[in-house]
Amino acid sequence: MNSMTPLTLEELRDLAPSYVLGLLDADERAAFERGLVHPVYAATLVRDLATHRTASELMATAQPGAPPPDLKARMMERIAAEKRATAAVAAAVTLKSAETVRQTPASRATRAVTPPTPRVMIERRATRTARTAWWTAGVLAAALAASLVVAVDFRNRTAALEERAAQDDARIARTEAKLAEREKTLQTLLAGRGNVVLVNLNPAQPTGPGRQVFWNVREGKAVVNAYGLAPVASDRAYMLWMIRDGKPVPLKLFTPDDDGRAIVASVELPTTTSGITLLAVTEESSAGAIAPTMTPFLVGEVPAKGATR
Amino acid sequence: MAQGDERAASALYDRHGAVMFGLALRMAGESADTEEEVLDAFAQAWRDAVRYDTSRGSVAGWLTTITRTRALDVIRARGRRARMTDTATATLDEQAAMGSGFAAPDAQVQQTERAVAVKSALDQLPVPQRQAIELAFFEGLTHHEVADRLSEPLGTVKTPIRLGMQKLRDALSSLAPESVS
Repeated sequence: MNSMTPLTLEELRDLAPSYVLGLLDADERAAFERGLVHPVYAATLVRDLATHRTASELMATAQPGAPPPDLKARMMERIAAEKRATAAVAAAVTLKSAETVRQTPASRATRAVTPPTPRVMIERRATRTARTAWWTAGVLAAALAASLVVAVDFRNRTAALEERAAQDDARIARTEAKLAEREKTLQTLLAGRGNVVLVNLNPAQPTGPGRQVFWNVREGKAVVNAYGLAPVASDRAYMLWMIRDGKPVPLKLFTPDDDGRAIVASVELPTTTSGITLLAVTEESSAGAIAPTMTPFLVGEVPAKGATR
Repeated sequence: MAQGDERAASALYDRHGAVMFGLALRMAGESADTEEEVLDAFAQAWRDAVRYDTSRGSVAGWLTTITRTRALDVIRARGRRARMTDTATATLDEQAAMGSGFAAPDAQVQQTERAVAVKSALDQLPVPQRQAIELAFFEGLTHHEVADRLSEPLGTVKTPIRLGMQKLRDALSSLAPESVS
């Protein structure tokens, strides 16, 4: 039989006796049980089922037996034992629900504990109070320590920020000074218009030290661009000279940076090139010198035609 | 009994103990097992009393189902299915007449009257129908097993069972279901 095959009411009614006796296979049983909830068949089948069930139950009464005389006493003893067991279980459940503790802090599982006596309860309360005080003190100490740590950390952070701000201020100041110097240099170069004389020192050397002097004859100022210079000792410096009328005249002390470069603005020069034939560089004391102490290692000839204002 | 009153259990046994013992004896066939089956059945009834639904049948039917199920468990556990049916019915007369000496007098009378009526109804069935029904009910055999036991084709067995049950139902319709609390 196909379990999905719908049966007629009469076919289902024929199954009722076997259903009561537990004789149907799975498909037949499923079909009959669908009939029990069928809107049209249900009433008839339920009625049939009840009458067949009654008949089968009556079959059980066809042959009463003679139980042993002590069977009832044993049955009553068994039931009394079941009752005691049930009561014990109920008491255990009540006790467990009355006071349970977690087996672990993170566990939902609980275990039963013995009910405490009044004295034990007082001792527990005192212990709990002392424990609470210690716990509170511990919490406060921890909070204080945490506050100190936070304060120290805050102070350190503030100091670091202040230091960084100071460094930034210094860097900004240096940058501003450099910009001002560049501005002055640019001003010197541009303000000379057509009266700027360029003097190249050591122009024949493709490598090695060299120097350019941008001389604003109109204003009597010059900008020096030096490069390829060797570093000098802390008490030494380079000196720019002009040779006028055959005599050296000191103009400016300067020191190069780590790259051997130096841009020196606002070098004071005459407003005429008349009589000035050369510009030269020597290494001198950082205090300066009124006359060269060495032979100039950079020399540049001043052009004659850019002479006057 | 649902309220845990042991007196109700006592009354239940007085009223149905003999019938349930007879049913278990008929099915399991051994006295020691029979006694345990009956004890188990009444203990289960005691435990399940709170779940008993009066709308689903009589107390006798409920208790019969419990006892029969217990007996079938024993039978199946033994794997002993080769039981006769005719010898059981042969003892029906004296068993039914004897009843239970430990049942209450009124219950005993009722049981005896009912047993006689049921026996009469069974006796009126054609032998193939009665045998098939008794094999199914008392031994818990399936259709196939009944057919094997009776050496009949499966289709031939189903019809006698259906017809026999219908006749039995009609014959016993006058015995109203009892209501015992």
